[in-house]
Amino acid sequence: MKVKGLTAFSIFGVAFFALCLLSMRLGSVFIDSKSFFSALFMKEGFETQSVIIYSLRLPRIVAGIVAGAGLGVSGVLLQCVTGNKMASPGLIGVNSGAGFAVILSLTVGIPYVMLPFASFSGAFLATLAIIAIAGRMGMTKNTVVLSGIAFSAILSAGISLLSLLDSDVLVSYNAFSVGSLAGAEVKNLVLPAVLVTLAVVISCFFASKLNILTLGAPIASSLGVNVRFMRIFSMLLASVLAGAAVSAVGLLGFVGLMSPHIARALVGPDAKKLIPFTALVGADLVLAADLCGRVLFAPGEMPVGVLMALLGAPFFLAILLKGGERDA
Amino acid sequence: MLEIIGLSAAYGKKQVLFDINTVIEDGKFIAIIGRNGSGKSTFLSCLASIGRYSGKILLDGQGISELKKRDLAKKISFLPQTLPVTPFTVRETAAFGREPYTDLSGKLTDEDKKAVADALEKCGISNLSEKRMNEISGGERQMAYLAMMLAQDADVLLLDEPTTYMDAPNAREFMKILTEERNRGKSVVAVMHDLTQAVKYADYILLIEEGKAVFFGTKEECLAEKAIESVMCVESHIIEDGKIVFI
Repeated sequence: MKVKGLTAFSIFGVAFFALCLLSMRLGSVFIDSKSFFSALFMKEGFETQSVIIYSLRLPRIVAGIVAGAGLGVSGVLLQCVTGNKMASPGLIGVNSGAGFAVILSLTVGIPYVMLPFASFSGAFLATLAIIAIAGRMGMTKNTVVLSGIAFSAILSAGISLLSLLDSDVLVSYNAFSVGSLAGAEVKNLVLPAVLVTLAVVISCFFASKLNILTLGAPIASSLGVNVRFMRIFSMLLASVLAGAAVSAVGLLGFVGLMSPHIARALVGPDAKKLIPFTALVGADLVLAADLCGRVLFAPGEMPVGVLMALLGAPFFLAILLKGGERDA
Repeated sequence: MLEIIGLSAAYGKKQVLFDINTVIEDGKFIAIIGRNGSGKSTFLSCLASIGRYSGKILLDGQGISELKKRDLAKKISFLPQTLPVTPFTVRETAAFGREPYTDLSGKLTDEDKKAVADALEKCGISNLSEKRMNEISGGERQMAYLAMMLAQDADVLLLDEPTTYMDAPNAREFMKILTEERNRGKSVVAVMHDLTQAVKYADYILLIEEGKAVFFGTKEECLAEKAIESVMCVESHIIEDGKIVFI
């Protein structure tokens, strides 16, 4: 790894620990240094702070890491598969699939506790459907993108239809669709955290194949890569990553698009470095946005999804404009 | 040796190749010539086992469709006409050629690194090793992909119009490297649009017209029968030193 890559890993690694530390201390209730360490070791007299840290803020941090890493690495995988830098988890129906499953669950009255499972299942099934459609058309880069757009449009229409039928359902769905770390609970995070960790590790193992996939099907195939298998496998991994993230925090835009772009600019296109670094960048972005949403709007808070869109969209436009100048 | 027996291919209902039979011997340079849409690139894709086909393609007596992808990649390499412009460095691109030899992690051994360094050296682009592919010229990029192909070290090299975007000196250098590979015992099969270049470098000419192999023979036979002239609607002229140009 070159100095530039090492420096980037170090800076974002330090930022990660700083953000975790600040996320535990800052918010509507400020915990000073002395109280913080006492509360961390659950000393007597600091029970309230301990509850705030362990029951409220630590689960938020875990949810932020799961969401940031999951969505970011999902974006990297999809950008490699499609050869399109604009690809993000929404492309393989994660958002629309999860959204449709959640609104359908709310409409038929499935218990609220089941919503994370519904959203994960919806995301995964939507991806399977898109793979099946693209597979019938040859599983090329274009068929993946086009079938993703078409199938997502159908599911979005379903979401609109169900939301029109019941206004109460629409209110509950909006809370899911905006994406927030508030109310994160450890028991709901275990499975997404395990899935994201496993999928990131597996993605790292296949990094060299992903690099070759970006050269296009003819070259990748002649280099001995099973292109069709790698495309399907990568899409399934991307779906697990993004589905797990969405089940933990709801629909969170821009992370899957922004993190790979930032990471690529700092460590280059090699997936061996890009995948772990994107996971770090994604986690940092979500934690930073959540922290800002809690500190700047205390005692209330701004959902992380809104802040990501507010900060993310202009940032992304700036990247596009910079890229456009270079390409001209 | 590559034996092609009754090779046919179609895109949907459109038949593109019709019952092509030929043998490509080791250590020979074969130029594939034909008009646009005649099926040259499809023929090459079939040899690379990328396109779907009927018939048989045997490599040293074994059907290429029976070989595992990685094993096939050690025997046949392929460079398509359109090459991607990536942000990878020239060295990283050349190193992709070692993919069939590496384990799942893709880690290069000392032997792999030496093969990459040798390929870059042979293509004369060692000085560009750390340059990104999107920062170099089209001709240099073409050379980088040739280095990838050399690093792959396959027995058969398939190339689709490899010098299309190159200037004359670079194209000459490119062809010289391919000729050296031929001299090392590799088979080189290239779709070529430059007829003069094809006749200069190739040992055999395969002429494809509307999906059919209408001529396969040595370049001397090809010139004697005026096969190129007939298929490509050109005239040949002999200039100084016996060189032939097509107009």
